[in-house]
Amino acid sequence: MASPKKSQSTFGRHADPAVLMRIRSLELRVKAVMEGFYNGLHRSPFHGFSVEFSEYRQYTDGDDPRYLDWKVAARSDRYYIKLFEDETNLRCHLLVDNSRSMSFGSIDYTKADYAKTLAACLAWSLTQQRDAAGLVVFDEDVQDIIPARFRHGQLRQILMALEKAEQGTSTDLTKPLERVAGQVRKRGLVVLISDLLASIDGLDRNLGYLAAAGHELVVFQVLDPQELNFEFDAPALFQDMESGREIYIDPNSARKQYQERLHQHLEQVQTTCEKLGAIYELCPTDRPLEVALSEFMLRRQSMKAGSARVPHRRSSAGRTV
Amino acid sequence: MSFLTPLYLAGLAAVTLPILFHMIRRTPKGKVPFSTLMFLEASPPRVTSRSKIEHWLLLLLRAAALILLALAFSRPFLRQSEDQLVDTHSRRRAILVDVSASMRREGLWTQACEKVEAALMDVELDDSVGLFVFDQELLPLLSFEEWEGLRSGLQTTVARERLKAVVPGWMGTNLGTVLPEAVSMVLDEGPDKTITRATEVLVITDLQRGSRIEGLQTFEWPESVTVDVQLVRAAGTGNASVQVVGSLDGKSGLRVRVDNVADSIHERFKVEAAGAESESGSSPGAVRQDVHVPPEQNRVVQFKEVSDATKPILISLSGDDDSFDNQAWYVRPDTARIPVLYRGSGSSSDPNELRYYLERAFLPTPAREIDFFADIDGNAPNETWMTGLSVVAKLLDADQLRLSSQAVEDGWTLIAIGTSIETCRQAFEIAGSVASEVSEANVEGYAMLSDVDLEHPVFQPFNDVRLADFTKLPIWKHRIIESKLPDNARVLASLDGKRPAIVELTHGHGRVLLFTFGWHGEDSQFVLSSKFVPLMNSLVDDFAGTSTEPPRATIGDRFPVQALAGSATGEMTVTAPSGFRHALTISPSAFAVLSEPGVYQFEWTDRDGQRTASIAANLDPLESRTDALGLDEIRALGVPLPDVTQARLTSEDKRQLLARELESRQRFWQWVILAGILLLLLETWLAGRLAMSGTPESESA
Repeated sequence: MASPKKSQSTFGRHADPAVLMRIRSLELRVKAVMEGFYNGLHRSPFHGFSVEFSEYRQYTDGDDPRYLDWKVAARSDRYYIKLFEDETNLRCHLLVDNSRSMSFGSIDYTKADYAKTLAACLAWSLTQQRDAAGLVVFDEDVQDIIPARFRHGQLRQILMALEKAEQGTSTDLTKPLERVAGQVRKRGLVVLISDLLASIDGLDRNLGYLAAAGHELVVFQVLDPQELNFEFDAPALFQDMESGREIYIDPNSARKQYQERLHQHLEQVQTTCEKLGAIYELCPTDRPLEVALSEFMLRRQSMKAGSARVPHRRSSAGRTV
Repeated sequence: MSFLTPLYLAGLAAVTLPILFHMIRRTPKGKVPFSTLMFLEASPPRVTSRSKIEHWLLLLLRAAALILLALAFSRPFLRQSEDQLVDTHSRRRAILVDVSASMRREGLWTQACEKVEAALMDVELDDSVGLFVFDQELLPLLSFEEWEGLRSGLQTTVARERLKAVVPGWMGTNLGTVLPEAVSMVLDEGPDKTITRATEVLVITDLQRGSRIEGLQTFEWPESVTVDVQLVRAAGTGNASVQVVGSLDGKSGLRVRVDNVADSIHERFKVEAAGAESESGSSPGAVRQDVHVPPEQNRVVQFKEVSDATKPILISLSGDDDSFDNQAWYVRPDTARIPVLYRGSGSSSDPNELRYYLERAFLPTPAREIDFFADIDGNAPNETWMTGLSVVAKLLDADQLRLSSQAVEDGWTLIAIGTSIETCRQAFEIAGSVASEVSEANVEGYAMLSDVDLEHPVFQPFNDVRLADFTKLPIWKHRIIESKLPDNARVLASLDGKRPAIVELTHGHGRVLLFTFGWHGEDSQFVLSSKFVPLMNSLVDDFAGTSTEPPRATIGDRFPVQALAGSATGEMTVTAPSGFRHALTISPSAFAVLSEPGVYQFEWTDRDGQRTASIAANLDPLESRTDALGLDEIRALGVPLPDVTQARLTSEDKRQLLARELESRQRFWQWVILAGILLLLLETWLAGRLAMSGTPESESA
């Protein structure tokens, strides 16, 4: 079995995930990632909070005259309303897959470790910005749910829930996504972290519920390097970790077909996400978390820039998440 | 080679398994867990069968291990010869005949002899038989070795003749020790252990309640032995017995107990006590009493005055059927006269003088009387030193010193009262030691006795927590022995500061007891303390050997003659009640075996000259408990009696039993298992080695 060593060469300036995952405490691990990541990037949420200028909109009847920009009126003789950041904090739900397939790991740690660390990093980041973070841990059913709140101790609660989460059974996105769609009425951000190694059929529908409810969707697909490349050497009896089914595989002959099918599956996932306006991010577990996070930020910012949303509906423009 | 459980040989079929497993081998070596198989399709499995065996040695080892396991489970054993298979009746049988006193009852011995005869008639040609008699011990009449050494045909004749010469004795029964001993003798087959026989113990007994069967409970009965108990039953309708309890009111009275057994129909008995020399019933001095004793009860009868107290007394009982236990003998202890010679000062009526107390301290007992002499002026003849216990409380002249030292050396006891430094030194001189440095103690207040050696015979009466308090004995003046005590000295009691108060100095056969304080009021309050009288009597009893209870004995006892003779040496003549005389050398290991009821006479010589003693030997009281035990009662103790199911054993069952016994002796299965384990270890090592060295090879194979 070939062990991927790519991380050290490609992502040399970032913390090696293998080293990172050796930190037992999830909290310390998150700090190790996020403190470096935020160096120079983070903006204090107190600075200019709720007074930050956003954009102008032409004054129409009924608008509050307090928000008229008199300087612009003086300069251009037109009446504009000055819009500011929405005061409502972002509500983000982190959906973390904890099914048995997530316990696969060809390197020192499993996909579940990676996924939990990623979720913890996001939760930490949200909490730092005084945003409300929630957590849903699921396998074929919802294992644990922490409603999105911003309050003292919320981050710790999320980290503990992530740490204590026991390995589940098979993956089924339907129930957790339906439940989130049913419970979370207020629009917000929904981050799904999963290997998505299940049938693609339900994904479209289930993510569609959330998108229709006005949620902003982000999908992190966490995959092991071996799952991407299938670089096994010897023929062996392969056992499905979720169903327990065993089949005899000769990797040399099966590799090509596997890769083709996998890429097909990944493309389908990506297409579905794009169709629903969700941000899709493929995260091989050997990729440093900072890289995954920063790529996601860039994608989101660019997506924000390109979107033509009504300004006052925006909830978190300019934020790091 | 035969097998006890041949069905297990079917396990040999398992030997095909390693061959099959060896021939068919799946290539994949293990499982690889993978997150999902949704993108994979099964490759054609490469389960290959091979027509060629690659690891012959490995295969052979595995097959051999399986064969050995199957063999071990089928319990193999060897039959030495076919004859043994046929002859399942060959037995090794011990015949035990009860010759205890209870077998003297009417008709029992005849029944027993008939049963022995029947058993001898039942003897087969190849049987090995031992004939034993037992009471408290097991005695061979004809041992197994003798039986096997005799010509067949002669064996039973010899056994019959030897049995004819035997009659029941007078001893008690101890089945609890005899039966296990017989079992071990039956099992001990000597050097030729290859012969397999059924082992059996046949016990012919009356099995009376007093057979001491409790000992059977703790014995672990071997499986291969059966015990057959054949009972003989008396025709009598009950038995009562008489035993002596002890003397009554000092000397002349006597207490006897009458016991009646549970199955008795008699309740009224007559008890008579008379001199042993006179015939029962005809003695003019005989006293009689009627006594009513219900079954399973006992009564104590008191005789106020039995004539001729110095002679042995015979107590007779009448009114029951069995007479073997209707007599008991009693010997009153002789009263010894012990002279105590006081050498000191003072008058007999002066309470300030030691003599006054000493003269009154000795109390007569049934065992001894004291003759007190006082030598005040020192004119007593020299022989008086050699007559008894001397109490010296003054300075002796040279002659007296020499005589007293000689007397002590010869075995007499001398008590030296150290009223002064000189009398203390004198005691050491009498004991043959160097005169010690003695000084007068400077006592503040008073001194007390401590560290009293209560184990010493003299202090034995005080060896009780209620009596061992010597603190109420104030001593105002005493002497201190300054120098180291000689080797022959033993301190029996100390004063404050570990200073010797009472010292025993052995010299020759005798001893000197030195008191470093005076007994009278000037030195101490000893004569007035509660310790004085018991100590004086204890000293005399220890000196004269009269402290022990008058000896009583049960038939079967091994009576230590030294208990009678004390320090005397030489020969002792023992006269049995039947008149049989024999001589014994007096030593700690010499015993007189009391084998018949009546009065045993002992004669020996000691420093006093000719001495005699009489000891009454009576029947074991348990032997009188003649009500019969049931077989169930001994079966309940684990004795392997043949039961109904065993009697119904077919010849095939017996054959199987024999096979089981042969197998249990040979135990080949243990060795086979061991060999199997060794093979498996070798196989593990070899397989590991092959796997280490030839993994690619084996995978490609």
